[in-house]
Amino acid sequence: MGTRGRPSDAEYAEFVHASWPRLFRTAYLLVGDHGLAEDLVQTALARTYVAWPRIEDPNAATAYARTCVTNEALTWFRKRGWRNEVVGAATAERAAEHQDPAMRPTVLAALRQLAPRQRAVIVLRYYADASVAETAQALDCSTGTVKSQTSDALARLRVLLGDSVIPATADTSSLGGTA
Amino acid sequence: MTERLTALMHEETDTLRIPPAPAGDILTTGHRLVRRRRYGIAAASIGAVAATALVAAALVPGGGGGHGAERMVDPATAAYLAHGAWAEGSTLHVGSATTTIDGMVKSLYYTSDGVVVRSGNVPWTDSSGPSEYGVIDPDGHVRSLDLDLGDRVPGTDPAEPYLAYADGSGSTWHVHVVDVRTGEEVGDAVVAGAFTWGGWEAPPVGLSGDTVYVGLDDATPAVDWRTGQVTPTTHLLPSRMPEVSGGRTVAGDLHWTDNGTITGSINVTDVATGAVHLEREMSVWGYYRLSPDGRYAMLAIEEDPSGAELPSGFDVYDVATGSSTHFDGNTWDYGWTPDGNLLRFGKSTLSVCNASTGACQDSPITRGDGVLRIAGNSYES
Repeated sequence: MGTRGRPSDAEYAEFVHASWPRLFRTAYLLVGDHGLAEDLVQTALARTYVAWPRIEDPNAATAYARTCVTNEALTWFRKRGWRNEVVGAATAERAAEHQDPAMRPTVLAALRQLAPRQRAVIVLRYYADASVAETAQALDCSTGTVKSQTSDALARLRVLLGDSVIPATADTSSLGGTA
Repeated sequence: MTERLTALMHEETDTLRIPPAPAGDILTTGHRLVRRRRYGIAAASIGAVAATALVAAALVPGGGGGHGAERMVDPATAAYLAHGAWAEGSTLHVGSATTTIDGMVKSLYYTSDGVVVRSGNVPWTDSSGPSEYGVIDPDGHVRSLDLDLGDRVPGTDPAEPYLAYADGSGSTWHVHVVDVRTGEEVGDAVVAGAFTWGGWEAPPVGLSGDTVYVGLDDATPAVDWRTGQVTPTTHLLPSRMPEVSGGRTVAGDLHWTDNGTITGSINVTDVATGAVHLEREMSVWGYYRLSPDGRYAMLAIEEDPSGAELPSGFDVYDVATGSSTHFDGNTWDYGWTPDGNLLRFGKSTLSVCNASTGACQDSPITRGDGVLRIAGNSYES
């Protein structure tokens, strides 16, 4: 796998098995659905196979596949309309402001109430441990956009999940990241 | 201060049931996508270049690849025809001119009025961000086309000043044709048919002369963009990238057998007549890449199921005569000029090579850090 050109089937199968669990988990956080996450990762890994000869650093292949997963997810949301899946989100948000902490939504439910790109920013930065620059590259936007999306997303998650999960200083102290 | 959020997301996924990785299905899909993209990966056709008169400048050994005739064009255009266009990051080289643009170059498409540049925030074509278009004329002058086509796959013809693309949804697609000299839309034809195979927002198109070929699921119809007439084609397979160069396309049907060998053949087919050139039985995985004028075909070998080491270098065939010339290196380090010369990129040298003789003329270049994009090569994914 260290040379340019396409890997053998055995080599690529090894790569698939090694990268699949983490990519699946990331996809699941992005879309919140087992079957769809599986489809997204399958598509992403097939596209990564096609692109392999132009991925100059084989160590970057997993990051490339993760970018494919993110883009596939965003395309999926764009085609279906993300608001269709968060009917009642505003009501839930208002309820969360006054709920007993034990009744707050799970992190997955809270993520589902973020706009797709905000959700992607949160998952990439705070789950996949991507830097601001890496997130910007994956989402094809500027680092400034990543920072503003992060700030907005954290503010909304704070409402949904509470200050104990998202302290009020989080959206300012964490934005510098490792751009 | 987001450690708790990170921990919660990990807790959410730590208990997740991870399905087994379907490596076989992924590889099958990957092979299919490679096959669909590789058959006919070169740019569109060049018919007869609309040169205005006779000319002087033989800029490469052998006088360039351009139909063997000398043509009179201005020096900048002559350099563009003979040396082509390429880019790294935001820096573009068009013939003898160099210029920079905002954003990163995703892909370059030859036209008769200069090279169309597709750019955005990243050099990949499958990103979700902007995918804007402009034209760089042979003098290096940049002008915007005011187009943002997302991940759509457009088509150009190096002999024509037009860019074609499809738009629409469901089973109704509009074929738009834009005059790159003015930025004005000059054609809008409708074609019907399902499109699900490629994953792009609209079916990919190829442009050759007045004909736009549209890659649908069940057919690759030909659309006369000037009249709107749609006719079926018999020599372009459905669910494939529709690429026609100089009236020719690459075709073939390779299969992996159950015992792990490869069988089938590849060829170059004349779209109008069905005449077959360079028919070749294959026991290895490979494909032809046509030059923009359709006169030459590069044979790229990608995989030998026996595990044997792949041959060094590759052959370029004259489609009409079947004669071949051997070139060193990997096919992906090469591109084509609009005039049918080969471009070879080294670390500090750009070589322009005559496809018939193999004679090359080297020029020193300074490579940057950006991703290399050669006009006429396909970077769709």
